[in-house]
Amino acid sequence: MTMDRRDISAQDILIVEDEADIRALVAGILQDEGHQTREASTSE
Amino acid sequence: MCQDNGVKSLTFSAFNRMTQQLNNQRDALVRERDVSEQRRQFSEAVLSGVRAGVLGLTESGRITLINASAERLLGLSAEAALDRPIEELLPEFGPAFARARESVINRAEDQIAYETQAGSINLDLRVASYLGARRDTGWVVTFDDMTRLVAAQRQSAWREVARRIAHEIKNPLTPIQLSAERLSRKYGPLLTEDRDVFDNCTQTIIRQVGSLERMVDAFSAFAQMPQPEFESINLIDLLTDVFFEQGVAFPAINFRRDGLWPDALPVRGDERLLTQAVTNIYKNAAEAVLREADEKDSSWVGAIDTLVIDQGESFQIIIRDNGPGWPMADVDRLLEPYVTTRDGGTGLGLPIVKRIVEDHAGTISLTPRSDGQRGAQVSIFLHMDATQIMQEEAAE
Repeated sequence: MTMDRRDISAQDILIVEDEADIRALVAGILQDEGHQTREASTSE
Repeated sequence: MCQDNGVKSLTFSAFNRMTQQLNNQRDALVRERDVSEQRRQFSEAVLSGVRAGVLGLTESGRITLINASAERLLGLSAEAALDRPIEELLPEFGPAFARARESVINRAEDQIAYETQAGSINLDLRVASYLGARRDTGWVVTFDDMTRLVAAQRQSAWREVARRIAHEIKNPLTPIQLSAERLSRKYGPLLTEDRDVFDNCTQTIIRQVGSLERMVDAFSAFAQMPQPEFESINLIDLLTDVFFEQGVAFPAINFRRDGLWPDALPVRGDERLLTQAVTNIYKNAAEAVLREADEKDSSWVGAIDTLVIDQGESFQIIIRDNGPGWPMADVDRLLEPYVTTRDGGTGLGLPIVKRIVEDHAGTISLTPRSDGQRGAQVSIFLHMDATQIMQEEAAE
């Protein structure tokens, strides 16, 4: 199965992760791929 | 006459009373003797039955009593111990005894390591005074063998540390690796010069993090080593396989079978774990021999001898090398995790062997070579599998 990159482009992604380093890193990687990100340290 | 009769009867009755009293007193004494004899026999039975070692000492510290547990724990016979001063016979007990004598409450406690022929044991020691029947004071020394408890405490403390360290190290490894990968992906293509330096650096980070991760995995794998899965195996086949494998792995070393090996050693065991245990012992011996070879001239040949002794219901595998011997006096510590005297040693080789052997209800001991030659010796005691032996006999 192949997925067209455009299919998943410009998604708005919420990242919930308590470790700030990992949160920033995941956000960075997703932004590299062209996504929008929002961050939260807890689910509350 | 009448008065005379009166006096007589008075004398008689006084005499009778006196005999009665004497009788009563004698009976009381006999009863008391019986009771004290019963008590003595009871104390003796208690002393011979308890697991704790008990020593009775005179005021000055001469041994007047030693119970069966004390004889067994200390590896002493009563004949050898009785009437000897405790500081002379058991110098390890000296400090506690001295402190008890100096103390106002005439008590002292101590934890000591005591050397027996079978190895070092940990004893929990208590010294207290008592007042004897003739107002003389004496001392009672009681002690318990804490060796297994101490070892279990160390093991469980160590396992907890291993778990925590594994967890704490592993956590930051993922972001380090992902960051390096991201740098390489995002900026690698943009670089116009020194691209190879950049690639080398990022790849080094990724590779080293990978090896750190494997080390941590091995580390926590030991902390939670798998439970063995028992099946019927012939240990002599397993030993033969490992013996030849190691011979190929270390061509500079002369691997020798010492004496005849039996055809079969039926055991209930986990083949993979037992193979690992035997391999670790050979590797350890081979490394010692190779270190020795560095010190000697080229005519010296390293040798590892393997002896299998069939003892009917159990057997012994003895593997000995002609290396420098064990590096420390307290050899048993080498069976504890992370005790190593080698650069680059993980300190896990022998503890893994110990775990595996003990999981198979066996024991392991590290000693100098029993034939008196220079070198180290590992002996493993294991039990034969009785059902397999019976099946074989039935088949014959």
